[in-house]
Amino acid sequence: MKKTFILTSIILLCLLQGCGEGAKEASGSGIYFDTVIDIKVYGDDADRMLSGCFDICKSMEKTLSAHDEESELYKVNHRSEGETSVEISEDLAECISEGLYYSEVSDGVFDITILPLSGLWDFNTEEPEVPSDAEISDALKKVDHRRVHLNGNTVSFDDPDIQIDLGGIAKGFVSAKLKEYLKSEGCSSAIINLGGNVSTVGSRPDGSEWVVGIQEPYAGRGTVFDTVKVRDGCVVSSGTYERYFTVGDRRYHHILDPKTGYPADTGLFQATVTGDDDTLCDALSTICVLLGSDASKQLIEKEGWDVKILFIDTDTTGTWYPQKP
Amino acid sequence: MRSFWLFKKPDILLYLFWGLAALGLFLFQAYSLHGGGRGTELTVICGNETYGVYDLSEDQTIVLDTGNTFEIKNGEVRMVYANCPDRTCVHSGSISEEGESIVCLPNHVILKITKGGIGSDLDAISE
Repeated sequence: MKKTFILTSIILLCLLQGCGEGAKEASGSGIYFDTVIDIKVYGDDADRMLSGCFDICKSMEKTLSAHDEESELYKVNHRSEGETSVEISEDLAECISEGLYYSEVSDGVFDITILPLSGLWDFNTEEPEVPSDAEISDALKKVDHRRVHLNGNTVSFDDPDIQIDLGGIAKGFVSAKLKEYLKSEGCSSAIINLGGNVSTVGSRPDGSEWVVGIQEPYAGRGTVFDTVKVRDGCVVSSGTYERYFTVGDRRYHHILDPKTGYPADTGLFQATVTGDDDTLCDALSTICVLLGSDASKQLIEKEGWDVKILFIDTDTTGTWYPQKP
Repeated sequence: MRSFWLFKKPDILLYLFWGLAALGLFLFQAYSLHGGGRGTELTVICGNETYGVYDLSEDQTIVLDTGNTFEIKNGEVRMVYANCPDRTCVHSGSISEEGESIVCLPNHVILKITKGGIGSDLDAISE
C-alpha cells in the first residue's frame, strides 16, 4: 500500500509538472533605437527572460545610439577637438569592429562614418527637402571609414569631423546579443522582432519551424511577398520603401550611397537576407541594395557567407539566391 | 486473498484525487491561456511602460498626455491625432486583429492588439 502510494504520487507529480511546461509565454513591446521591438519568449522562466531582454535593449541604446544625447557613441562623436582617441566599452568596441569589417569588405559601399551625410537627409518630417549639391559634397568629405582605427577598446580618429553611425548593423548586433543571452538562460523558443529584423531562438514551442513573412515593397503594411521557415535563424529586409519622400517625379529613399551622397539606384526595391549570423544578415541586406544583385552575389561568393537572399527588383520581381531556404 | 477490485479501495481514492487535481490544473491553464474568455483587447504602451489595457467592445476616445489621441470604434482602433512631425501613426489606418499595431515613434507610443480577432498564421513579418 505504502509503496503504491509513493510510486503513484511520483508518476502523477511528474505528469502535472509536464502540463505546466511549454505553456508559459511572455511577450512585450517597446521603442528602442528609434524602432519598435517585439519579443516573445517561451519557457518556464519566460517573464524573467523577457525583462532581461528589455534590459539589454535599454543598455544597448545607451551604448550604440548616434542620436541619444546620453549615449556612449554620441559622446564619442561629440568629442572635444583635440581628442583623437577615446576609451570605449567592450560592447561599443565590438560593434564598431563589426562595422569596420563590413565597411572594408564592401569597399566602403557600406560605411559606418556616414553620419555627416545621413544627418543632412531628414525622412521623418511632413515637408522633407533634398539637400543641395554643395551640402552633399561637403558632407562626403567627412565620410571615410579608413580614418577610424580600433585598437582593443580604444577608438582613434584621423580627423575631428569623423562621426560614427552604427544604424546599419546595430539591430543585427543587438538581436545577436539577445539570442546569446536567451540561449545562456537555457531558452529553446523565442522570437525577436527589432523593427522588421526578425530573429529566432530554436523553434516554435511545439517544435515546428517559425514562419516569417517578407513584406512586399510599396504594398500595404502586412502584404506578404513570400514566406520563409526558419529555425534558430534570422530574416532581415532592407528596402527603398521603408523611409522615403517624393519630390516631383523622383523618389528619395533612406539607403544612401556614400560614394555619391544620394539614395542608391541599383535596380532593387528590396533585399531580404536569411542566415544564422544576425549582424551579417543586417549589414548584408543594406549592402545588397547598395551594390545591386550581381555585385552582391560576387561579394557573397568571395566571402563564402552562408546566406540565402531574396532580391526584389524595381518591377517587383523576386529572385532567390542561391535558392530559397 | 485476491480482491474483487482491481485495486484496493484506498488506492481508488488516491487515483481519483490525483485525477481531479490534474483536471483542475488543466482547466485552470486552458482558462488563463485564453484570457479567461475576455473579448478583444488593446494594450497601450507609452515610453516603454504599459499605460493601459482597453476592451475593444467599448467605444471610446482616449487622449494620451504624449500628444496622441486614439479612438476605439466598432472593434477597431485608429490614431485620430498626433502632435509629432511625421504623423505616420495618424496615416496608418485602423487595426483590429491580434498582433497588429499602430506606432508613433517620435512620441514613443504603441497601440497593439494583444488578444482576439483572427490573428495571423505568421509568427512575424520581415520588413
